[in-house]
Amino acid sequence: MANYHGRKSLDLGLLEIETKVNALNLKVLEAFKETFNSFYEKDLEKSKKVIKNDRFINQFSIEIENKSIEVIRRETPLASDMRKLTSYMFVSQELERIGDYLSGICKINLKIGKDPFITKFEKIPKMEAIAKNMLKDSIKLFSNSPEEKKAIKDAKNIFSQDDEIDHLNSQVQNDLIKRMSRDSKLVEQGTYIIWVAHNLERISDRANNIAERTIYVITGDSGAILPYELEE
Amino acid sequence: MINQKIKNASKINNKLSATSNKIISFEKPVLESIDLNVLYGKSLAVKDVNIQIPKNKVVSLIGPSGCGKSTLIRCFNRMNDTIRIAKVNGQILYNKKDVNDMDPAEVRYRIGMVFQKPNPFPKSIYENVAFGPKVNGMKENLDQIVEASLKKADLWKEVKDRLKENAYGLSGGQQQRLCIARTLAVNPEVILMDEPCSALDPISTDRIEELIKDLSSSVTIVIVTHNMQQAVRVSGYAACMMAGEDRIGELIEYGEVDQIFGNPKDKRTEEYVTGRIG
Repeated sequence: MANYHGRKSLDLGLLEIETKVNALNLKVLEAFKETFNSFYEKDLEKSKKVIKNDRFINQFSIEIENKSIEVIRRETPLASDMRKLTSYMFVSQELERIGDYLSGICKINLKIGKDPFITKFEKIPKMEAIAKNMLKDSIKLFSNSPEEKKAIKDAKNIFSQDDEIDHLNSQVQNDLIKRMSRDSKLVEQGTYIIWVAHNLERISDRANNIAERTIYVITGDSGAILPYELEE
Repeated sequence: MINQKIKNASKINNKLSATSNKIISFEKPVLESIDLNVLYGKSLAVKDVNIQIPKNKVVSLIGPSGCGKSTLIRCFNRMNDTIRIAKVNGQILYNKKDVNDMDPAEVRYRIGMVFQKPNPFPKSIYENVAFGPKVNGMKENLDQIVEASLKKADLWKEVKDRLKENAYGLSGGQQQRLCIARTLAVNPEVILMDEPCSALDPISTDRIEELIKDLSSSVTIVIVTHNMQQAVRVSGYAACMMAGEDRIGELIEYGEVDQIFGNPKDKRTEEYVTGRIG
């Protein structure tokens, strides 16, 4: 006869990690906002702050990994519990990498310094908006873990934005390379701005990974959705 | 590119509908139950169990206490015949032959059993292992049979110099391996194990688990266990049984061990393996 059994220790462990993941999410979203505010406004002090604060993001990621390992060792979880715990480690590492990309953009901002921008920025803000959307949506998907059909719909929506950001990244590269080949004075900052676009494109890839991982947690099928197949 | 993603996403739904059947089946099972129902007196204990056990594999039976796991494995070698109030309806096929049409003694040496608590006979180590072959009329090569069985059960090195000593002098773990050696001595095709490690310490448990893995190349093993990690470690397939409010046990899911413990299809299996019920 099946009775409720109680699994207080495991549930408390999961809750503690989930709380840490949520806190890490907020830190990364905050860093995203601050990175681009500082970039467009040339607020170098703010950029320095983002770079400095990246260590907290790293620290959170390590804490999540350690706590997950501890709960796995102590509770020997199975099925959805195991998928969740391994995914907390995976997602926290993805967020940590996103933190590094943002910190990288801030370092570029310091390199450009107070020099006027060589471009008016049309495509970069578009890329930024898409990457931020994808990141927000994937974090929301992972945290809310909705039922399967909705999760797949939401994940597809996240993946569908990836094409546009890839396309914009190519355009930024092409435009700047053309201009740099005509005027060598633009090479330094042009290269930096290409790097900013590249980091945004990488952030969107990491957001894709988070969405993909969420589908694995919900369905138990790691091959259910494979965004990497698309990178032909 | 997006279309490809959408195509991949829809694979999930297709996969679910294609595998809605939660009970795996095999072409040539060594053991099989067909519409098995077991009653103790007037109360139904196990209902409509249809399960196939593949040859030379390890199958774990899991589920909360009282869901009918032991009742089910006791049907496989007609052990329920010994319980007066037990009534077994349906069929148990051993290599496609109904076990009820076979001599019960033959059924039990073809399909051996190891119990939760080691139960050696109050005899010498040697006599314990030689008992089955002797009862079956084998008088020659007994020494070789005893040695080979003790070796297969990973006990030979520890007891080869004390074969004449009483089996009760062995530790719990050694006694359990002796019981396995005793079962192996009559060359069974299947061994049923009812929580064989639950009374043993972790090192003895580890040795039995290693033994189960080694034996599975030549013997089919069905093991009842409450230790989920043990089921993951030793078995290739796992079957989950569950009793509802009516306290009647049913087979709710049966599949490859990675699927049962990684991504169960039945909500009740998920709840049991994650400790939400049980």
